[in-house]
Amino acid sequence: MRPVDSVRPPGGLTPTGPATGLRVRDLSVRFGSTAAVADVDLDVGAGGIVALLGASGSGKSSLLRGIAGLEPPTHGTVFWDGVDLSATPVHQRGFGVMFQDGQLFPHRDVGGNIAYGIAHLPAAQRAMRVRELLALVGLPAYERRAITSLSGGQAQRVALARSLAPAPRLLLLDEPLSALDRELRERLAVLLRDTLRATGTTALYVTHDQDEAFTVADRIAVLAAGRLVRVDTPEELWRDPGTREVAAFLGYGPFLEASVASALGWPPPGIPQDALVAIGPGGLVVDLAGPLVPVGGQTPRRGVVEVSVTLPGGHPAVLSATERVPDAVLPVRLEPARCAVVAAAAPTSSDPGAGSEQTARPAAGAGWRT
Amino acid sequence: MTQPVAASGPLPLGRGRAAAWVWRAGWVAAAALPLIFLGIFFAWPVSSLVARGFSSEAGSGLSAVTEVLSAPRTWRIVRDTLTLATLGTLASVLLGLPAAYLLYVVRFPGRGALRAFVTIPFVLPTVVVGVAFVALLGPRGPLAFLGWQESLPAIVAALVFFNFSVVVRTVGGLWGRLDPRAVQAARALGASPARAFRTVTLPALGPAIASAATLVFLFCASAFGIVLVLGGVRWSTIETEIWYQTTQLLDLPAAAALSITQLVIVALALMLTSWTGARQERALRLRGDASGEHAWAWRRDGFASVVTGIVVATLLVLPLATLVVRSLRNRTGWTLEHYRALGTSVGRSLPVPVWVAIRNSLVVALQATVIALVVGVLVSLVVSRRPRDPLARSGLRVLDAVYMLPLGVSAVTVGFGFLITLNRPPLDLRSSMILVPIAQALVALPLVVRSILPVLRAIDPRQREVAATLGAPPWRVLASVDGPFLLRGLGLAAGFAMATSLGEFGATTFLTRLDRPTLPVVIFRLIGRPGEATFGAALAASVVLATLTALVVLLAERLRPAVASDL
Repeated sequence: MRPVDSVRPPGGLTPTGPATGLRVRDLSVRFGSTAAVADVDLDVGAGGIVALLGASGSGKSSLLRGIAGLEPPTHGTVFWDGVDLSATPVHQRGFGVMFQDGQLFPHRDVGGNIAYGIAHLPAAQRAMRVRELLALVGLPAYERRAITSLSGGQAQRVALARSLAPAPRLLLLDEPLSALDRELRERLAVLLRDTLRATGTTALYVTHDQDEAFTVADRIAVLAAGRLVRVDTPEELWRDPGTREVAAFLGYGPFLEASVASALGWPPPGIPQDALVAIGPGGLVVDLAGPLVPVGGQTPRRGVVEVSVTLPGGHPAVLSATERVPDAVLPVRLEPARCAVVAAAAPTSSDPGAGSEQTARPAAGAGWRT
Repeated sequence: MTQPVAASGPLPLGRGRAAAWVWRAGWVAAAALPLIFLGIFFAWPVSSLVARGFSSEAGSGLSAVTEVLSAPRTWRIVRDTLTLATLGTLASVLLGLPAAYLLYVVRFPGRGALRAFVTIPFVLPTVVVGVAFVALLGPRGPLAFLGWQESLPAIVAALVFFNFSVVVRTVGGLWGRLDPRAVQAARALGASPARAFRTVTLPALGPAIASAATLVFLFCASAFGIVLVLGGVRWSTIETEIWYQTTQLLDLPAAAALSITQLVIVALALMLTSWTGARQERALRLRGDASGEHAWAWRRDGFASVVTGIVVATLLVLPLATLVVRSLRNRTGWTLEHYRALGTSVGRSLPVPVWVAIRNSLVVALQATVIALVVGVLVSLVVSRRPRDPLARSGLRVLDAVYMLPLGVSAVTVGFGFLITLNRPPLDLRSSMILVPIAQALVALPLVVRSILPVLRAIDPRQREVAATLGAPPWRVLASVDGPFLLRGLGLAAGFAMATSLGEFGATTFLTRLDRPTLPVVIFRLIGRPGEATFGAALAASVVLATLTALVVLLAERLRPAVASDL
C-alpha cells in the first residue's frame, strides 16, 4: 500500500500537520459492530478543498459526520488550528454542513433559510449578506421565494448559500450534487468550486463521482472500507493511482500482468513481477503491428464503436474504433501514456507498518512509464 | 510548528457544559411530568381496580373475578359485547370500502364536501348518536314501524354511523395513493377488472383494511353511550354492565372484575392493532408517486356510488335530520319550545337548568384540553427524540410504550378507577371538580398524541443537524425546526381534545357531581325520563351539543397553520 505522505509523516506516529486548519487523528466511527470509519488521519489546510472519494458504503459520510460532531467517534480526535474539538458541541464548532438533499427549512422562504445561521447580525447587515450570497450562487432577488417553488438545482444553490452565510471555518459537503442530473451536476460542480475559491472556504467534499472530485478539489482522499488509502492532488492521483484498488475505483481496467503487458507492446524493460499495468481510457489502441486478439461484441456509441476484445490471459477489455470492425480479430497494442502501473496485491493488513514496506515501488513507478 | 495531541487548547467549555446539563435536565423533567401524571391518574386507579377485582370478599373465600366469571350473566354480556363488536366491524368495513373507493379514488364535483360530511359522525358525542337513533327508531319516529327499538340492528346501525368514517379515511387514504400502474399492468397481462382488484388492489389494501377493522373493533367493543341509550334492558356490553354494577347495584368488586375482563379484550385488540399498524407502515412505503385518481364513470363507479349513496342517506343523513327536525316539532307542528326549555330545568327533571350544564361542559372541556395538550405535547416531544446514547434510546422505547398504555383503556374503566381511588385519602379529589377534566384529558390524550407525534416524527433528523451546524444551540433547534411542525399539529390536537371532552360520557358519568352535570350527562338523564317535554329537551340539547362539537372541530381545522410545504 502506498503510504499517504501528507497524512502520516515518515518520522513516525506523532500527530503533526499544519498548524492551521483541520487535523483528524486516528478517527474511528462504529455503528454497533460495524466499523464505518477506521483509524483515519486527515489534514485539510486553511483554504484547501479536499474531496473525499469513495464507493457507496465506504464510510465517507460517516467520516464527515464524525468531523462535524454529528456522530460521536469511537475514538480519535478532531483538531481545528491545533485545538481539540472533542468536547465542543456541533453548534459551536463553526463547521458548516451541506447535505445531499439540501434539507432547507420548509417553513422559511429562501431569504429566511440563508439568514438562519446569521441571526445574531443586525437586520440590515443580515439582509445585505443574504443578497450577497444569492448573487454569489446566481439566484439574485430570490429572497422571498418559497422553498417549494425551487427546482432541485436551485434548492442546492440556496443550501450552499445558507451554509456559507455564517462564514464557517470549515464547510463539509455530503454529496451535494448527487441528487441532480448529470448535466446540472457538471455545471454546479464548477459553480461550487468557484464559490468555495471566491469565499476562501476550507472544505471537505464527499462524493462518489470521480469527475466531480477532480473538478472541485485541489486534493483527493480516497476512502475504501472505512480506511483512507490515498491522498493526493487530482493530477498525481490519476497519473499514479498506486494500488489496483484505487485505480479500479478511478476507472482503470483491466489489469495486466507483466508478461501480457509485454506481449501487447509495453516497452522494455517491462514492469516488475509484482506490478500490473492498469489500462486507462484510450490505453488500448488499434495498431496493425500489434498482436491479434479475438473480437466479441460491438456496441455503437455516439460517433464511435465500442469493441469488446479478449486480451491474452483472458482479460476482457474495451476499445474505441471509428467504425465497426469487419473481422473476428483485431490487432491492438497498449498506449503507455494512457496506462498506469500499480501494485498487484491489495493491502491485507490494517497495520500501518505494512504500507511502509511497499513504499519503494510506486515511488519509482513513474520512472517505468514511457 | 505543531502542538502535541495532549496539549489541546483551552476552550470556554465551563458554560457550554453547564448549558448542556440544564438542557438534559429539562428533557428528563419533560419525560417525568407525563410519567407522574399517568402514574397518579392512570396506573394507580387501574392497578387498584385490578387489585380490587382479585381481592376476596370477607368470608366468601372467592375473589370477585372468579365469582363474576362463574355467573352465566357475565358470559351472556361478554358474548353480546363480542357479537356487537363483530357485527359493527363487519358492517363498517363492508359498507366503508365502496365509500373509501368513491371518495378517494374517483374524482367528482362535491367530493370534498362529501368527505367532510362523512367525517362528522366520528367526532359526534356518543350520547347524541344514541339520541338521534332513538328519535329515528323509537316511538313516533319515522322508522318506528321497523320495531327496532332496543334491538341489535339499531345498535349495529349506530356503531356503523360512528365508525364508517374510520374505515373510509384509513382505507381511502391508502387507496388514493396506490400506484395505478400495478392494476394497469395486471389488466395488460389479461386480468379482468374483478381479478385485478382481487389480486392486486385488495392485497395492497389488506393491511389498511386490517388496521381499520381492529380499530373499529376496539371502538365497538368499548362502546358505552350508544349501548346505554339504545340497548335498553335487553342489550348490554361489558362497559354498560360496569356502569350498572357500580351505580345501580353498588357492587364494586363485580364491576372491578368486569373491568379486568374488558382490559383483557382491549389489550388483545390493541396488540392486533399495533401488529397491523406495523404492517401498514411497511406497505405505505411502497406507494407510487403517480396519482391513482380517475374521473367518475357510471359503468365503473356506479355500484360504489349507489352503495355509498344509500349508506350516507339512510345511516348518516336520516338520523341527524330526524334529530334536528324532531327537536323543532311538537304534536301540533313546528315549535321552538324544546330549545326554550333549555333555559329551565325541564319541569324539575334536572337539578340545574340545561344552560348551566352547557356552561359546565365548556369550562370542563377547556380545562381538559389544556391538560391533554400539555401532557400530550410533552409526550410527543420526548418520544420523537432520537438520542445517540443507546441507553437513552432503549429508555425512550420503554417510555414510548408506557405513554401509549392509556390508548386502550376505556373511558368507563378510567371513570370507575377514579371513583374507587381518588375520592379518598391520600388523594381526595372528588369534591374539587378537577377529576372530571383530568379523566376527560386522559381519554383525549391518545388522540392528542396521535395528531402531534406523527408530524414530529416526520421531521428529517438532518433538519435538526443542519440547524446545529449553522450555529443554533439546542433550544433554538427545537424552536425553529420542531416548533413550526408542532404548531401545525397543535390546532388539530386541540380540536380533537376539546370535541372528545365535550362529548365525553363514559368517564364523566361516574365522576360528575349531581349539582354540576355536563351536557351529555344531562341529555342521558332527560332521555331516560318519560314525557314529551323531557324527550324534546333531550333532542334540543343533543342538537346543541352536536353543533358545539362540530364547530370546535371545524375551527381546529381552520386554525391549522398554512405551511409552504406538505412534508
